[in-house]
Amino acid sequence: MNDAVIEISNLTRRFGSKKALDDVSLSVPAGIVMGLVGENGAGKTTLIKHILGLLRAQTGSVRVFGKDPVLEPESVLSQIGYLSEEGDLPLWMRVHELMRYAAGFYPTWDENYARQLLQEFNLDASAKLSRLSKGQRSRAGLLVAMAYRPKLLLLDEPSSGLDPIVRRDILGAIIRTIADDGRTVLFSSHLLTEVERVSDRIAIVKSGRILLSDSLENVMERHLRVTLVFDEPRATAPEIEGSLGWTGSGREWSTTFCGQVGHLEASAAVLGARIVDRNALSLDEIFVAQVGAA
Amino acid sequence: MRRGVESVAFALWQRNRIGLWIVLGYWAAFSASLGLFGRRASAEALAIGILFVLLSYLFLVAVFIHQDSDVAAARSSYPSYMFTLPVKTSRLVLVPMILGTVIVFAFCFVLAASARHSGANIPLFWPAALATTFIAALQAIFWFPWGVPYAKLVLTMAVIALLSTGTGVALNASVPEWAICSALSAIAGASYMTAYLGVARARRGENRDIVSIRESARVRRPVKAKAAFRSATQAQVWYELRQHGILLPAIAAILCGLFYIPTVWDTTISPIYGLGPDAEGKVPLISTYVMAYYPALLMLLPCAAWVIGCGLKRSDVKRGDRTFQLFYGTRPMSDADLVGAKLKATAISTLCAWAIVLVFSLPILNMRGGSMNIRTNMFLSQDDRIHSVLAPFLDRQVLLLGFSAVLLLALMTWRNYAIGFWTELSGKLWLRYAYPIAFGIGYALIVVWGTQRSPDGGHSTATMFETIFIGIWIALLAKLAISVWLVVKEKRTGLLRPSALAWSGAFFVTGAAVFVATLLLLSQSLRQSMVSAQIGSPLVVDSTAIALFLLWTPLTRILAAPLMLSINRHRSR
Repeated sequence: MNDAVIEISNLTRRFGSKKALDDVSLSVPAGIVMGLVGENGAGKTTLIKHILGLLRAQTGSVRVFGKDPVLEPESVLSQIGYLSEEGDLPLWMRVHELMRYAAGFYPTWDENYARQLLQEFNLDASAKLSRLSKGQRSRAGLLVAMAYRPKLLLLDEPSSGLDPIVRRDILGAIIRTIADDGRTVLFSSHLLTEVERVSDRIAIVKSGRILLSDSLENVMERHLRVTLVFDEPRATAPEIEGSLGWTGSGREWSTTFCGQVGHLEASAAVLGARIVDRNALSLDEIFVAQVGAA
Repeated sequence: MRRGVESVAFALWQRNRIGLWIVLGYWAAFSASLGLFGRRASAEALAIGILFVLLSYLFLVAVFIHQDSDVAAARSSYPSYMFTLPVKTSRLVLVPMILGTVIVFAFCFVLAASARHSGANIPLFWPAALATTFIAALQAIFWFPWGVPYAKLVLTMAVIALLSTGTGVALNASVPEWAICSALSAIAGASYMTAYLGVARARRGENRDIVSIRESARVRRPVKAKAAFRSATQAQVWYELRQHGILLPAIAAILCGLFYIPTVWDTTISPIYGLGPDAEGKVPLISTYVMAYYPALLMLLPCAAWVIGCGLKRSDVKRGDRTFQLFYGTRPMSDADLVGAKLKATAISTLCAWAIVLVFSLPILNMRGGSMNIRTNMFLSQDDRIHSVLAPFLDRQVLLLGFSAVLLLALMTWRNYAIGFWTELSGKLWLRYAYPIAFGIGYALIVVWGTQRSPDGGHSTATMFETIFIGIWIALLAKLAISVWLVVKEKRTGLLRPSALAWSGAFFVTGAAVFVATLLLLSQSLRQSMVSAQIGSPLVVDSTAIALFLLWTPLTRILAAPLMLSINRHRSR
C-alpha cells in the first residue's frame, strides 16, 4: 500500500558548487506529524521548497499527493497549508482582506472556523498586517494556512523567534490538525522539545543528507547513553558498531549508542567489558550525538 | 572621521560600481570624441550619442538618490542600514550629495566645453547647474520622511515641471547665465538643507506617516463582510489591482490636477488649424496652453505605464536574488493564470486611468474659446466656451479620428504596461537592459544594411525605405517564429492549457485587429504621401504598415511571460 503524501526519491540540489541536498529520499505517510530537524543551513528549507514546487528537482523526483508540484502547482498547492519563518505576507493588506483573498483560492475554506481562529488568536480583523507584531503576523499566517483544513500542513521554522504564547498557538494548531483524520503535518524546527512533544516521526538532516528518519518511538528506544567498565585499562576508545562517540579513560568509558541493546551487550562481552549504567536520551541529546558523529 | 566619509562613499560605489564605470567611461569617451571629431560628426551620430548621455544621466540620478525603498513609500528612502554606521548624519547626507554634485557638474561641464571646442554654441554653466540641482532636489525629496504615500512621486513631478519651465522662462526672458546659476544654486542649497533635516529625522526614527497615525488612533471595530471572491482568478486580479493597479490611475489624477494649474495665468487663445478653416474661412480658437500641452498630457499616460510596467513596482520579487516572494510563489494557481491575472489587472488599471483623464478633460470644454476669420485675420468672438466653438467643426470624421486617437493611446498604455512583465517576472535584471540594447542594435544594423545597399551611399530615399520594409518583414517573421516556438513549448510543458490558449488567441486577434485598424485610419495621409513620393506602391506601403503595427503588438513578450514566471517561480533560493 502506498499512502505516502510526500514521496521524495534521490533528490539532489546544488546551488553553484554547494550541495544543498545530497541524494535525499524521504517518504511521509498520510496522517502523521513529521518533524524535520537540523542545523542552520542543513537543507530543511530547501527540502520544503521542493515540496512546494518552488525549486525544480535537479536530479531525483518529488511527488506530493502523487503529483509533481512544479508541473501541477495549482492542484498541489491547493491542498497545502504553508507557514514560513519569513512570514512574508502582503503587508499592505488588512487581516480581513487577507482572509477574503485567501478564501478565494480554496473551495474548502471554512468561514466559521476562520472566525473562530480570529477570536482565539485575538487578532483585529481591521488591522493592517504591516502594523502587527511578528507574533501576530505569524498568527495571521497560521489562520489562513489552517482555515481551509489543508490535507498537508507545512511549517518551516514556524516558531523561530516567537514568544512562548505564539509557540503554544502553533503547537495547538498542529495538534488540532492531527485531530482531523488523515491530515498530515511536516514541520521543521530548532526547538527539539516541541518536535519531541508532537511528532510521530522525525528526520534529522545534516549537510543536505538525511541522517536518520524513523518513528519518534523507535528513535528514542534505539538511542542510549551507556557506561562500560573494562577488565583492563584502555589507552584508546573502544570500537563498537552503532557507537556515536566515546568519552572516558582507563577502565571506564561512556558512549552514546544507536542500535539494538543486545548487539551492544554482545560486543561489550567480546571486548571484555560490562555495562554498568544505561540511560535514555532526550531528543536534544540524540540530535547532538547524531550530528556530531556525522 | 575620514574613515566614516570613506565608508559612506564606498557603500555607494560598491553598490553601483559596474554601472558607474560604464557610464563615466562613456561620458569621458563621448566628451573626448566630441572635442576631437565633433565638427565632422553627422547629426544622427550626435543625436544617438546625446540620447545615451541622457540615459546615463538618468542612471546617475538613480545612483545618487541612493534609494532603498519603494517610490510610493511614505518613509525616508535613505538606506536604513547606514543609519547604524558610526558616522555623523551630516556625513551620511553630504557624501552622496557632494559626490553627485561634483561628478555630474564636472561631466556636464566637460561635455559642454568639448561641444564648444567643436564649434557648437552651447552654454557652459547653466546646463551643468540644472543637472546638479535636479539631482540635489531629488535627493532631498527621496530622503525626507514626508509621511504621505506617493508624496515623493508628486514632488518629483512638481520639481521637474518647476525646474524645466523656470529655466525655460528665464532663458526666454534673456536672464543672464550667472543669475540662472545663482537661482539654481539657491535651490540646490535648500535641497541640501532639506535632505539633512530629512535624514536626521529618519535616523531618529521620526518616520511616522499619516497611515500609521490613523491606524493607531483607530479603535477596533467589526468589519463589514464583503462578498467572497467567486474564483481564485478573481481573488488574484483583486490582489494585483490593489498591489500594482492603483499607481497608474493615481498618476493620471495627479497629472490632470497639475495640468490645470497654468490655465490660471495663461489666458491666451490660438487657432486650431487642424479643424478649419470652414467655407467662410472660420477657424476655432482655444487656450494656447491647452492646445500645446493637452496632447502631451495624453502622451504621458502611456509613458507612465511603461515606467511602471518595466520595474517601478517590484514587490513580487525579493530585492536580493529577485526570486518571488514566498507568498506570491505559493499561490495555488498555474503560472499562466498568475500572468493572466496581471494582464487583466493592468487592463482594468488602464481603463480607470483613461476614464480619469477623460473625466478630468471635461472642464476644458467649458474654458474660454473663440473664433476668427483666417482670411481677414479678424476675431469673430473671444468669449465663447470651447464646446460651443468646436461644435460646428465636429463632424463624423473628426469624431472618429478623435475616438481612434484615444483608443490607440489606451491600447498603447496597456501594451506599455504589459511588455515589461516578461523581464520583471524572469528575475533576471540584466534582461531588462539587454533586450532594448539588442533591439536597438538590430534596428541600427537594418539602417546600416540599407545604407550599404543603396548605390549612392544611403541618399536614395526609395532604396532606404525598401530596405526598411524588408527589415520590418524579417523582424515580423522572426517574431512570429518565436511566438510559435513559445506556444509549442508552453503547450508541451503544460503552461498553457488549450482553453486558455484559445481565449488568449481570440483576445489577441481582436485586440491586434482593433489596433491595426485604428493605426491604419490615423496613418492614412502619411501612407498616401509615401505613395505619392513613389517610395512604394499602395499595396507595399499598406502591407508594410500592417506588418509594422503587428510588430509593435506585445505578442511575443506576453507569450514569454508565463515561461519566465515559471522559470523564476521554481528556482527560489
